[in-house]
Amino acid sequence: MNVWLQALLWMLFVVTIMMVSGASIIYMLRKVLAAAHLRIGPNTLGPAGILQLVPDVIKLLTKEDRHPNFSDKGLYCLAPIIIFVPMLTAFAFIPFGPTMVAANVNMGVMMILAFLTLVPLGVFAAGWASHNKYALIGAVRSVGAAITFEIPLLLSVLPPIMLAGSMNLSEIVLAQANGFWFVIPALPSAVIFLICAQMETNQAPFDMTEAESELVAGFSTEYSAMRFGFIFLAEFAGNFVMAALAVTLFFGGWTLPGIDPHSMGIFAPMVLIIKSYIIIFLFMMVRGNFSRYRVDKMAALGWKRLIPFTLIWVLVFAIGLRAVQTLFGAGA
Amino acid sequence: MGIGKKPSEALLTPVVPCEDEASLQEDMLEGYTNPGWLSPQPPAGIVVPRNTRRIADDPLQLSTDHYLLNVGPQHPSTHGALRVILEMDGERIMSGEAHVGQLHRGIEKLAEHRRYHQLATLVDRADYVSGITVETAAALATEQLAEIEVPPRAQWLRCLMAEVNRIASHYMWIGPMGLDSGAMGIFLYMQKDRELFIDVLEEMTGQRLMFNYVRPGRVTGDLTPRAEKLLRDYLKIGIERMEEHWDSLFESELFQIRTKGIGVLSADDALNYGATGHVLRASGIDFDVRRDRPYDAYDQFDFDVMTRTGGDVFDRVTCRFDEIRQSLRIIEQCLDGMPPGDIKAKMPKVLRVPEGEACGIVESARGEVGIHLYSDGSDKPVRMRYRPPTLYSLGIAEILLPNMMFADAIVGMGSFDFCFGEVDR
Repeated sequence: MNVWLQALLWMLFVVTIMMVSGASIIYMLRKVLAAAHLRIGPNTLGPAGILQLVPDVIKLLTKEDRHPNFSDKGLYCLAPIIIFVPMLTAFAFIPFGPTMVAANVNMGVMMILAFLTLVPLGVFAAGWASHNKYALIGAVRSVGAAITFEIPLLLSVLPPIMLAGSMNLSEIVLAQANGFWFVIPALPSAVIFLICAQMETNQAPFDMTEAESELVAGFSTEYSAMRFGFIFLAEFAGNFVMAALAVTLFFGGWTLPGIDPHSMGIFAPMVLIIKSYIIIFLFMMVRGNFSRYRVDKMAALGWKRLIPFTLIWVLVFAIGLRAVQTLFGAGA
Repeated sequence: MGIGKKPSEALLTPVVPCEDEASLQEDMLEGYTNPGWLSPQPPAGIVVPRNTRRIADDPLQLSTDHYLLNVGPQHPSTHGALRVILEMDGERIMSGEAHVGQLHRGIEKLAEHRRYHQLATLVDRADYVSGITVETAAALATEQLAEIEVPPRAQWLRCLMAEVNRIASHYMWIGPMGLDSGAMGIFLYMQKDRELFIDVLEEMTGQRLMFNYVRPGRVTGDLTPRAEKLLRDYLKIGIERMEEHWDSLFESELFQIRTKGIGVLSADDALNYGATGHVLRASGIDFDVRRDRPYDAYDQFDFDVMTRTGGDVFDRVTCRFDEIRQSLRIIEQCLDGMPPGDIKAKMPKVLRVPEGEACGIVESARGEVGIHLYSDGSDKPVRMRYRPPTLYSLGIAEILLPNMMFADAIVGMGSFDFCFGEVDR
């Protein structure tokens, strides 16, 4: 096949997956939170309110796209793109099936995390360019949170990499299919990864960057129309990326235990998506019920608890893994 | 760093007021234990309103350029129309000044042009969350002036409805306290419970917010069977529901992190700044108008006054949460022991009261509400004065703001339960 055509098709695939997962997570969030809060949620448009997003998007598209006075217009327009594009790109590295991965690179884990690290840059640009004090406070908080939580996040993905002996996400999945899910030996890493994932996606209890009761809407206070739409969509897409990454690293990715990974066929992406949605459901229940961390307590949690703990855990894990491999042979 | 607590003496710059202000402050602060609070010397280049209390830069900490942050009146968590101007150093508040008056409707002046039985309509609009209690204050003042004997059944109905309204108001406050700290669920759980009490009020008064129920010498409606059934049904499940609320909000470690040790108010300060209600009781002062200066039928009920000793946000919230349990006890006693009889005293159609003055004092949901009426013998009061408990809490919030983190300030200000209808009147 023509290589350009192939690339174009993969791009379409990634964009479609992102849009669909973003839209369905928004609907899911509304329904799950409503159920958790003893409310009904959207129920008017379409069966069970499933078309609610259509007027939402029409509203976002037709609203006035306004720049605040004295804002840095170039940066203000650029910021949603800086937030949106890395999220979109991160989708390319997630394996949805044996051959269904847009970019099957050997550094898959690092690439996803590297692209996600760009997101706080966009958030900071948005808050800085908005010429709004609430937005600026949110932006500064976002940078503080990013440097706090990137380190334990990066450290917590090391045990699966050690177990699989590869940074290629497809190989990590296959290693789990041939053996066991990596959550079993590396449970603390999985827990820390999920905590940091909530931080990375600005979810409660770590949503200090847009803490509505304090900062109105945080870094996105001044954004309206589709620029806000992009920030909004990127947030939910980020949810899916982090959940899918957690599934890929710790919960067997697109495989199921006891089933030959090469006979999964079309069910492979389904399995990944359902597993991811279970993780997202977990995030949503936390989001719906818990109070928000204060920004200094969150920094204390990151620097004083998570970073020392993950450092020691990675060391212990590495020594233990090498010991097991030496005692029982390299196959273990 | 003792966040939310008063800074130690070492952190404070000395008081440098001009001479007149010095003597004024000495008069004002006589008996006040910590005059080192006042430090009206803002840094150069920033315009801070005079006489606000501010803390000095901590020499041991990194401090950045200060900036002013205007919070409200459109801010989502100012619970009405509060505007606070904060002088901030990063996330830390150096000084804060509250501005009131955004919701001023001249209720006290309007009262001079209303007959006595019309006052209930006005004061409903003042404290729009717990209308029954403030209506009672207006009615009590009028009854004292006109020397009206209220029939016992009407007194018991007033107590019953006041407690129903108190619970509705407390739920309306504790839920949003969860929202202020970021917890969304508890707000909706409590709204669901509040709905039942609002239904009872609607059944009895025909209104869901502005009840206009308690009039001089009478109440407007008798206890209906449906209202009694609704209340008895809730009494069966109420304690269990409250355990659920307790578990989902107060047992949450995140909520405790956000509220324990935040906004600590000492008993001395609480007394000196005129705090009443839960603010006073959470600081350890055991005072409740219902028990200590009983009005209506409150001397006939068996209930406890809830106190706490810490004086922080957590204590203020839990203190009130326990008050809901006591209110349920009073409601149960009301339903069981309601005396039979008329709900109206014999009164002339146009009430003309003798010359004089009187003050009706009640424990509203937010604290001690007093309505002082001055009469010249006509059918309208010459002057009405409404003592809003949360106006005094606002003064306390101002002294607690310096040295708080911004996120704590939102929770701290929420913990006083401001109702701007009554602050601005």
